[in-house]
Amino acid sequence: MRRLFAVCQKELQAYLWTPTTYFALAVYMLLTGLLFYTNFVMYQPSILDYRLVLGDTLSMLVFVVPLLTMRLVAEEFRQGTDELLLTSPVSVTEMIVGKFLASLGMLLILVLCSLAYPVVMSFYGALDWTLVFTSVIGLFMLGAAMMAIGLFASTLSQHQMMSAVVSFIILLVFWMLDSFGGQTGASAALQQWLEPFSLTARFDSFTKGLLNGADVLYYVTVAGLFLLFSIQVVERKRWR
Amino acid sequence: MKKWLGHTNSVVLSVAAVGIFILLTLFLRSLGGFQLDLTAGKQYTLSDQTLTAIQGVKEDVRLIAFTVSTSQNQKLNRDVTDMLREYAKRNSKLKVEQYDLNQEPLLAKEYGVTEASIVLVQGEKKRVIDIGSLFTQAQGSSEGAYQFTGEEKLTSGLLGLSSTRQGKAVFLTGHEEIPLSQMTGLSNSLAQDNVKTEEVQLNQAGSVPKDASVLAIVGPQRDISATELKSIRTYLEGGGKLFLALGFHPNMQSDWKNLDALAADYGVKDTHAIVVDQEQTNTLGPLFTVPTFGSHAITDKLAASNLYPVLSLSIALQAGEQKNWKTTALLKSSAASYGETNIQGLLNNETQKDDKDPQGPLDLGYAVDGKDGKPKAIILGTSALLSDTEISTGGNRDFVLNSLNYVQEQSDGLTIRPRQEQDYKVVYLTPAQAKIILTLSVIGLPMLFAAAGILLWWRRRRA
Repeated sequence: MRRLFAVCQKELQAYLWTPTTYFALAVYMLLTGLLFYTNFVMYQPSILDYRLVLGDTLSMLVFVVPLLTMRLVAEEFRQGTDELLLTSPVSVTEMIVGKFLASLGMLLILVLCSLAYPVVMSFYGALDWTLVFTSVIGLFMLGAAMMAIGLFASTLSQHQMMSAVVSFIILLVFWMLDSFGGQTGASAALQQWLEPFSLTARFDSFTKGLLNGADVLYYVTVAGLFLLFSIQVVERKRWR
Repeated sequence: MKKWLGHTNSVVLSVAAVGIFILLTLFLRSLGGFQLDLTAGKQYTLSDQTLTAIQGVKEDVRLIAFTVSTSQNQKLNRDVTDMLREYAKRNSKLKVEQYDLNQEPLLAKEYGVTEASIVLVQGEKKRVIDIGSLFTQAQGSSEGAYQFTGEEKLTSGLLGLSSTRQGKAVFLTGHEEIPLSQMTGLSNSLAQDNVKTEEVQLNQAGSVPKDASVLAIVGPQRDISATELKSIRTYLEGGGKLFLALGFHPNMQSDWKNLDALAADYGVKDTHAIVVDQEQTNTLGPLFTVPTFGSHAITDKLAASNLYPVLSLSIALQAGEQKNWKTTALLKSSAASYGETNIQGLLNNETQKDDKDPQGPLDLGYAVDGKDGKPKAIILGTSALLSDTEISTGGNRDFVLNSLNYVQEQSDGLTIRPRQEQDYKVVYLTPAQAKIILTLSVIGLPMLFAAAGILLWWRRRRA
C-alpha cells in the first residue's frame, strides 16, 4: 500500500508540475464556461436548474480525459522507465492503481472547478443543492470510469498522441452506445441491448437526485474492468 | 512455454472479466428500483400499486411519448419522460420511445394522436393519455407550483391494457341528442377503458340491448315517448344503469314530461332553471359554471387534484327524499348563483333574479345509488361537456369518464397521490450581471489556469 501511494504521489506531482495540465484545465474551463454562459445567460429568462447546464458541459470530458491520461503509462514506455518500474519492488497492480488514484486527484480538481457554475447560479436564486450534490457525485463516478479507460489507452502505445486518440475513440463509443440503432424494429432491439452499457444513459439518475445502485456499480465495474485490462497489458511486457 | 502460459492466463482473465461485467450490468439493471431517492418530494419513488402493476406486465409494452418542445414546456416534458423511464427501469418488458409530435406527424397519426400524448401499445391494444391532462395548477401554494398526476394515469393505463373486463355504453338517439359522431373524444376514451359505444333508436330497436352496461341519454332536445320510457324502465328495472345528461332547450319546462318522469324515478327533480353564476365562473361569463364538488367516489380524486369541470348552460336539479335510492350531489354552483326560470328573458339577455328563481348553491348533478350501495344512475343538468368541443376543457373528460365508469361499476379505485412540483425558477439578468458572469466564467477562470500553466512553463524553462 505504501508503494501504491508513493506511485500516486509521484504521479500527482507530475500532474501538478506539468504546464500541459493547466492548459488542459484552462481549455476545459473555457469550453464549459462558454456552454454555461450560452445556456444560462444568452436565453432569457435564465433557468435556475443545474441539470440543464451540466448536460452540455458533460461532453467536454470526452476531450479532456484523454489529454489528462495519455501521459500516464505511455510516457514510461517512451522514456524506458517502465523497465525500472517492472524490475522494482512495485507490482504492476500497485503501479496502475497508483496512477489511477493520481488521475482521480486530477478529476477531483476538475469536478470542484465545475462547481463554480452552480455557485454562480446560486447568487441569482435558490438552487436545489440536493440535485447539485448528486450530480457532482455522478460527475465524479463517470469521470473515474473515463479516467480508467484513458489509463488503459495509455498502456497501449508509447506515443502519447496515439494513446489520446485511442482513448477518445473508446470513450466516444461508450458515450454513444445508447444512440446507436433506431427506435423501431431490429435496431431498437439492438439499442435495447446496448443502452445499459452507455456511459451517458447511466448519468441521468444522478442529475435527477437519485443514487441508483445499478448506475453506481456500473461505473465502478467499468473502472475495475479497464484497470484490469491495463494491468494485463503491462504484465505482458514481463513475458516478452 | 512460460511466455505462452502467461499470455493465455491474461486472455482468459480478461475474457472472464468482460463476461462478468456484462452479466453484472444486465443483472443490476433488472433490479431497477435499487435506488436512493434524495429529491425533496420523493419524486421518483413509485407507489406500491404502481410497482405491482409494473411487475404484472408480462408482454412487451411500448410507452411512446409524443411531446411538443417549446421553451415553456421543457420541464413538463422532462417530468413525463423521467416518469416513463422510472417505469421502464423496473420491468424490461416496458420500452420507452420519445418523439417530437411536430417532427413525426405521420407516426402520431398512426396512433390517432394530434396533441402531446403518451401512447401505451401492447400488441393490438393501445391506450392514449393526453399529456395536458397530467398537469394541473396547484392551488394555495407558491407561484409556479403544479401537480403532476402522471403516475396515476399511467398506472391506470397499464392496468387497463391487461384488463379483460368489457362494457358497452348504448347512446339513445332519435330526440336530437348529441350524436356519437360529435363525441369522438369520449368514445375513444371509453374504448381505452374497454367500453364499446353504440347508438340505439328505441322506436326501431324496440328495447335497450340486453348487454348494455349503461344507457346514456345525452342532451335530448325532444322528449322521449311513453313507449320509449316504458322500454327504458324495463331495462333499468332489469338491472340496467342510466346516464342522463340533460341539455338546455327553450321549451324544456313544457316539453320534457317523460324525461322529467325518468329522472323523478330516482328522486331527482328537474327545476328547468338555468344556472347563472357570477362567482364560480370562467372568463366566458355567468352561464359557464365551474362547480365545486360534493363528496363522492367520482369526485374525491378530482377535487384532490383540483381538476374541475367547466359546465355551460346547466340546469339546476333538486333531490328529494327517496325510499329506494340514495342521491349524492356531485356538482354545486356557488352560493351567489341563482337559477333563471325566465328562459325567454335569458335568451334575450335579460337575466335578473326574481322571486321565482331558486337561490344558489344549486345542485347540477347527482349520483344515484341503490340501498345496497350499488350505483344505479348518474343524472346531470348539463350535457355539452361530453361533446368534442368541450370534452378537453378543464376536468370535463375526467369527470365524465369517472361518472360513466362508476355507474358501470368499472371503477378500479386507483388513487395515487399527485406529485407537487415546482416549475423552473427563472431570473431575469441585467446586462451588468451578464457581463460579470461572462468575465468570471468565460474569461476569469480559464485565464487563471492558463496563467498558472504559463508561470510553470516559464519557471521550468528558467530552471
